[in-house]
Amino acid sequence: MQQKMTRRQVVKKIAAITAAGAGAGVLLPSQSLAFTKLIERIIQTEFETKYEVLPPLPRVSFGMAIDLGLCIGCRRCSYACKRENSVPDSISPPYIMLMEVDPITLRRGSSILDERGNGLKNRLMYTKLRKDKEYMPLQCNHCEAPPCAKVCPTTATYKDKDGIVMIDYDKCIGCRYCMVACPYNARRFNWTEPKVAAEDINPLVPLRYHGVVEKCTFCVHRTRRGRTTRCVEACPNKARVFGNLNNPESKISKLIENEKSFRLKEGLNTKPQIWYLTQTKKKPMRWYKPLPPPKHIRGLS
Amino acid sequence: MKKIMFARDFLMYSVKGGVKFYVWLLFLGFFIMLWGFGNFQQLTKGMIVTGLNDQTTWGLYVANFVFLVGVAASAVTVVFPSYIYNYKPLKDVAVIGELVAIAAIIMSTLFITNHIGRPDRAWHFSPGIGIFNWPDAILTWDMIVLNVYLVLNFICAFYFLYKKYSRGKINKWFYMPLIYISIFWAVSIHTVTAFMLNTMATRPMWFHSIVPIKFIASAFAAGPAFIILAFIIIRKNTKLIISDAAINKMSEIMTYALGITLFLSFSEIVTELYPGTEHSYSLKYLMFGMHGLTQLVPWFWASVIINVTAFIVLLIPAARKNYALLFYLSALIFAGIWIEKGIGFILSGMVPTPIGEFVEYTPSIIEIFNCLGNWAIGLFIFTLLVKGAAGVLTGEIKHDALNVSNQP
Repeated sequence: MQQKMTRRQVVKKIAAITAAGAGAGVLLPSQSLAFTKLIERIIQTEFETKYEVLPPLPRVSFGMAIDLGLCIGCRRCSYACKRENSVPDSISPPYIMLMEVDPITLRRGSSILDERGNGLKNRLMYTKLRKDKEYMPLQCNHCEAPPCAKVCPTTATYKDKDGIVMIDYDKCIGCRYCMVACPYNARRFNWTEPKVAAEDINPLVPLRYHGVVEKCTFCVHRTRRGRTTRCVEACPNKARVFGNLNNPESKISKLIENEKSFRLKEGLNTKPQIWYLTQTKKKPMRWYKPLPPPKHIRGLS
Repeated sequence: MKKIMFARDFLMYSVKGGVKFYVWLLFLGFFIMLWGFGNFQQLTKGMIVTGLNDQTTWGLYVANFVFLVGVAASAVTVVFPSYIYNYKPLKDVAVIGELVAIAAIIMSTLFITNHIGRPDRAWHFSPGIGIFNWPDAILTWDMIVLNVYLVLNFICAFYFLYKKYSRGKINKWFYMPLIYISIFWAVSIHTVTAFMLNTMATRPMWFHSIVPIKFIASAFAAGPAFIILAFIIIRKNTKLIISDAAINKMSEIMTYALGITLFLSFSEIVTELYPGTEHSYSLKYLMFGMHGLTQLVPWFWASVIINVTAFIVLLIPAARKNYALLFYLSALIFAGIWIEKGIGFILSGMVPTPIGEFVEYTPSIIEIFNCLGNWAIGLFIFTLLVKGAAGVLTGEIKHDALNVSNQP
């Protein structure tokens, strides 16, 4: 009786034959093994695993408001996001970065991050928190007119109907044009094969592959199922509000209407769907011990 | 039949040569071996073997790509005087300009293949079979214009050589329209490549309407520099006659283009530095270094010194006629523009990032291997093409009627 080969074995066999054919006599055994693995991986990501997402919700446009008066820079959102989205350690900085902002600039309101890089007085924070500064989380702004989607040569990045800027990891060729175009530096590239321990992988968010770009998805696997994003849940001071911008009765719509707020680099006309609230009354808050800054930041000593 | 014979004769002639020729090819072969090693590492381990990171996502590969697109476009500096002004000395060797374009486009394609994270998915990025974000994405435009330019030059060069080989008459109604299109197209490839960069509103270093003009001006300095080098080497080592007039014309074009480039660079610097806004940080980082990061500063000033000195020397007509001096000047200008355009313009555009991170990028050894290898492959192809073309142009290989009848 002939045993039926599983699909996995077929892939392995094809990969081995291709590698043997391509590298016969040229490569050392260890090299041809690496080559076999490479081809296997390519076949797998190309034909086997398909990244599946839920369809966008009808008549919804997601947005977020972040209250800078409430943010204490504890990085709990950043850490929770990393776990929720199965972000490997090789991705750095994390999806949600933290900016250290001069409080005086913040009070003036406009020039935290003006059009075209006016945020240079403020810097990304990789060190410990300071009491005389204020903190500002920074992530994908899910722009209404996203420059990243415009420049993508394969439409791998696109603006979905419910306002989320999505990436189709099966289409991405890794040209990193979107990373150059993004005014908020919100995109991350898989410089190597992402590795996360199996028990840490969120089954709703499969791992990405090497050589593709990824970023914040507004927790598409949660929000399209009617839940809120993980960063909103993780924030100990409730500085983040997530909701439907199309619904005038939603909390976020009211906040944007009634509170003083700004968006990042409005001069670029990207129309971000994340608003920063500046002048809400500070509520009494507990001081949470900040989590340590992320390690292994490539290129930063 | 004749075409197959042409291909065979061309190929056979192009790989035969003296000791010098083989030493040169072996020299290039060494770098191609390094390229093989580098590519293997990059493919199996991922882009992590490069020095790139999330803050500086575009590096040496794109820098070389942009520079080489310029070199490819500058084939027009030979073709334009030859066919529009009917300048005889250049017209005889105009085909060499087209071969430069072919080699340069092949090199730039290699650089882009190295650059993208998933070269196995490059087919996604082809019209028809892939998913093509046209006309929105300028990269798709770039891909179209570059490939069409490659095909145009390939047809023009080899149609001309084939007619020379078979001693046929050139069909003007077929050939001339292609030449006119390729002249227009040469300008378009570098313009589109410039648009690819200067439409990035978030990168103030690139967000200048001067960029396409400056790109073309500097390409018309670097390209002729390369062509002069090629002319001088070819005429020394093959029987192909390249007249002094041809070289003089090229050095004239090079001088003017270099002057315009310097002027445009100067106006860019004044525009950026006088108001001293935060948008000029990239340029300040390039010129003087910022926050203790000064890696690019020596490169920038080296290119300034090279280009200005070369320009002043070239203004002297006697210096342009001194071919030993011209040879070194051309090499210097080629290097100077490479620094200015590749390292100066592309790498400094990535620092600081749009949110103000200052991260210095140092290419890894693998990246340098791959870059050298890509250049070596391009030069290898160019050498063989020129060798074959010289054989055809001197009439050493030509269609032999007797030879045909001997074929079974």
